[in-house]
Amino acid sequence: MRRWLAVLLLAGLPALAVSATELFDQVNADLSSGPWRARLVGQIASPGGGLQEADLIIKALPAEEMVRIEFQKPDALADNYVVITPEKVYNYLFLTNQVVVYPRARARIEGLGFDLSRMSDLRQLGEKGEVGWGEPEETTLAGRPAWHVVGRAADPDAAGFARVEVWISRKPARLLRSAFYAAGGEVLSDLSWVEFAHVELGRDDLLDFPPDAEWIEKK
Amino acid sequence: MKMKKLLPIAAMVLLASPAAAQSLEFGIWAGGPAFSIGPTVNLEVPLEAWTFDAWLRAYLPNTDEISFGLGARRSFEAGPAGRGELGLKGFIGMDAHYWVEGYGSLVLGKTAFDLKVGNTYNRTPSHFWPLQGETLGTYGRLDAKYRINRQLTLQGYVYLREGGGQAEASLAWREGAQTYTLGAGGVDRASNAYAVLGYRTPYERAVVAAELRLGYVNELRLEYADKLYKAHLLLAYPARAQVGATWNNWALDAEVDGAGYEFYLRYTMPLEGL
Repeated sequence: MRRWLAVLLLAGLPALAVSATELFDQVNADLSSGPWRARLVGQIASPGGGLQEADLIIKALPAEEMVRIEFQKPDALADNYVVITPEKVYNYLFLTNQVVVYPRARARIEGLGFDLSRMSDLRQLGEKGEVGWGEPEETTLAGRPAWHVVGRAADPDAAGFARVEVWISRKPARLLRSAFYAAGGEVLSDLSWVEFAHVELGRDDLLDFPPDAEWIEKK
Repeated sequence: MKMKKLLPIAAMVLLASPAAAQSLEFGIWAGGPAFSIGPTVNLEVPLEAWTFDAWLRAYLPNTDEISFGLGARRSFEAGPAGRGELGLKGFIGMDAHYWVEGYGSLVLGKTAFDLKVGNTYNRTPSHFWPLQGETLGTYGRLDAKYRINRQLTLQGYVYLREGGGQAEASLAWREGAQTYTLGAGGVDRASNAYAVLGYRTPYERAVVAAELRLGYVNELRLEYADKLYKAHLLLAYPARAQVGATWNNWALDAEVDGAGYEFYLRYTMPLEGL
């Protein structure tokens, strides 16, 4: 009987409040726990204005500090992919079957109207004072219990966006969706993590290029 | 390092750092029917977005055919969206022959272009020798590709030279990992037509490709590539054969046709940090 009382009591308790920083730490801890594969779909601003469909497959090897991003959409980038290692970035262009290799000095994405690297570290955005994060609020997203966190950029011109919203599943703490908005409320990027799994991946899986590709090494 | 620095879309693509690097290529060329031989040297110096080249080609026993070349090209990188390049190179020989060529390439999203325009004066053209124009006089060649969708790519080229030209168009479509190509081309006039058939497929951990041209042009081109080796073979009629291979920093090419034969062996030595 005592056990049942405890269960009822716990079920009736509201979810314990967490801070945005704690949530982001939990997300990072899960992503760092082993190799994983994810698929992100949604919309992203195009360079000429308007929105274009985005469909990305991400493969990550945390122990090796490697990430591979395969573009399914937008159509203009389809079948291109980027592999990021601690030392180099490999950029594969399908149409010309070329691999362009750069040192990893600076990173940015071209061909899209929004710099996706702004999504890289939600916690860091807060630490640097670029974004003031609100308190996480309980919600549901696609039927899943989730946290909803809203952040506002202190200087939208410098940040490249004015407002950011993220949805994080309760357990495990994983990103479900993130959306960035311009000062006028226009969507800059709205991506949902539709698939996520910890999988077996090795260095060779990420550094896999067509053997007949032309290599161009930039110094 | 924490995963946060890796987070997916975190750091996509970079721009090149300005650190310079160099490579030095040594080659030896030999050809006939009257046997000639000569060393070649190519120094390549990248400097930020620019790359500068210097070539020297000796030629024995006809020393007046010794030639020098200089080149400069600039690349424009746009990460996964594409890239472009503009360049100019020129060669001049002891006997006052010269060859100049300007070129540009652009791949942006679903479209790719590759343009070459040049002029060769008083120099034997060669389809084989990479330091020599393919034709005498002024010439221009435009290659283009357009990706209709993820399965279909339209591709072709137009090549114009003094006294004639060639054009070719083909459609490549993917089925799984295989790519098939079907097209047609013509030389000088539409009646000199030929058909193009192609096939490319992964084979174990390699890629093999075959391309066949039949009609006014008759040739079979085979290619093999794995992580360590690349090789190609061209058999054409009227009788002409080319074979080439690259491995590590080495490359070897050979050609034989009714006019003679040529070999070209070269080694590229990286000189990073010098």
